[in-house]
Amino acid sequence: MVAEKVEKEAAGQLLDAMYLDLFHLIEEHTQCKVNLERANASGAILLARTRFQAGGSNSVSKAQIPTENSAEFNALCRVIKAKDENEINIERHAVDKANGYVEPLHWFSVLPPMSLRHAVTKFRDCIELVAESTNLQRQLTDVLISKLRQSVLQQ
Amino acid sequence: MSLLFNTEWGYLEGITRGFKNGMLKHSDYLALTQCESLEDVMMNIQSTDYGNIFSNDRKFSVELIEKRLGEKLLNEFNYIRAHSTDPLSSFLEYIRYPYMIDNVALLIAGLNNNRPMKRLLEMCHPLGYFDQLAAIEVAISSVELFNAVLIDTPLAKFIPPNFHEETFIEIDVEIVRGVLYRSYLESFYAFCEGLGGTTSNVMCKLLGFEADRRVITITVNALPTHLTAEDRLKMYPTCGNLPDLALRTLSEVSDYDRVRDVCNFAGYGDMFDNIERDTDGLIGLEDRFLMVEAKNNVQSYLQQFHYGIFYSYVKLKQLESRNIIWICECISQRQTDNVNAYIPIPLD
Repeated sequence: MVAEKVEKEAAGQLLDAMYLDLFHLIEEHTQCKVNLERANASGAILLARTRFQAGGSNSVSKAQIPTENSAEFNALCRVIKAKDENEINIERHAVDKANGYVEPLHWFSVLPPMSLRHAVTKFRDCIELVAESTNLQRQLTDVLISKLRQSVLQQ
Repeated sequence: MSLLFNTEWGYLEGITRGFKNGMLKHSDYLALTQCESLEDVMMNIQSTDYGNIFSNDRKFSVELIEKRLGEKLLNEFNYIRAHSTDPLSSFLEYIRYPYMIDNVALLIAGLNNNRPMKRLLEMCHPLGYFDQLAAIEVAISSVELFNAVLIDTPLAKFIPPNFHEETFIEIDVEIVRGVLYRSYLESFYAFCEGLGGTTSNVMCKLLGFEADRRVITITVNALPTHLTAEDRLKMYPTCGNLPDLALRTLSEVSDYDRVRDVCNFAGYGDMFDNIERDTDGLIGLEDRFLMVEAKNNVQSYLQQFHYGIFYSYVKLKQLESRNIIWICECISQRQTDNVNAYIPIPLD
């Protein structure tokens, strides 16, 4: 009887710890999404500012972006699996025009203005935040599905 | 010149001053910044001198607003151009050349990415449209492109004598565009100097400022790149107030503080003061230049009987169009904190 009571208490404490983990992860995940939206919005307004300063929508234009018929090039940024199987990482390659690693900024201008450079920084941050958000999402799913369900079954 | 000016161009000066008086005032900008949607912006624009430019449109977007504003300026410019005689007609053609250069650069970039010509022509600036523009598609190699685009077009006279087909293939489109623009600016400056009188005084001041601005902007933008001093010097117009020594120094500097020192010495130090650091990179050096340019263009209306008012009108109207598009972008992206970051035009 006493042993049963102790077991139940232990299970209850475990559940409490799980729920606390869950709420912390939800908070981090939401904060990550808010930061992502902010960075994306900053990048977009900086693109609009570049057009404003350079004198028209043709300074940052669709015509400058490669299409499926353009020459092939290698991605500067890849998503790879981290050492911990459940997480992802961003791998960045250095710019190397001779080997096909082109700088996307140069599609728009070889002399890009400051606002365009700031926009590049913001969009780079967005990629990092997307990876962070994905990892948090995976951790959340992990806690929610596997561990909590197991604890409830054990109870 | 001033006694005979009115016989040929008095009507056109009068009508341009009328167009300029119809530009948006501070109160109109206030009304636009308080709009909550693009439909509100369009209704407010229609109550100004722009009139009913959106009457047949149903789908609202920033691109559509920009297109309609551009069409209004194009109609006014074409009206003035159709009624002008030489040398004003040549002067007005000079105003169009930068838009032609930009259109050619856009087409080259678009064709390199295999985009269809029809869509690219729709994206070109209407003020820079010329007959041979569509002929660019026919060229299949850079040599043919060089001949088709630059030799058989109105831009042919801006190609420097040492510019060969091989140079065109080797160097970047941006540098070709920079070299053409320098050539254009120097040619325009010489043309205005030749006209003499008030036109020469007003225009040489405006073009001198434009040349200096171009030098400083290219220098600052080239700092983080690997552009050589020689390439930078090729793009620097020499018709400004910056002396040759300053140009040579600027072509070789590699940090921002040195650029600031040279500009301080040459009288442009104010541009670099207190550039706000907390606006997330929105306000910069280019905005300072735009403010001074707006002030100079408004001041050109203080004198009469000169061609400078036509040039200033096109510049001010473009700036107004950019201000309206900026306000529209802030509203459509729901980032109205930055809506007041337009350049006010001191018309009053």
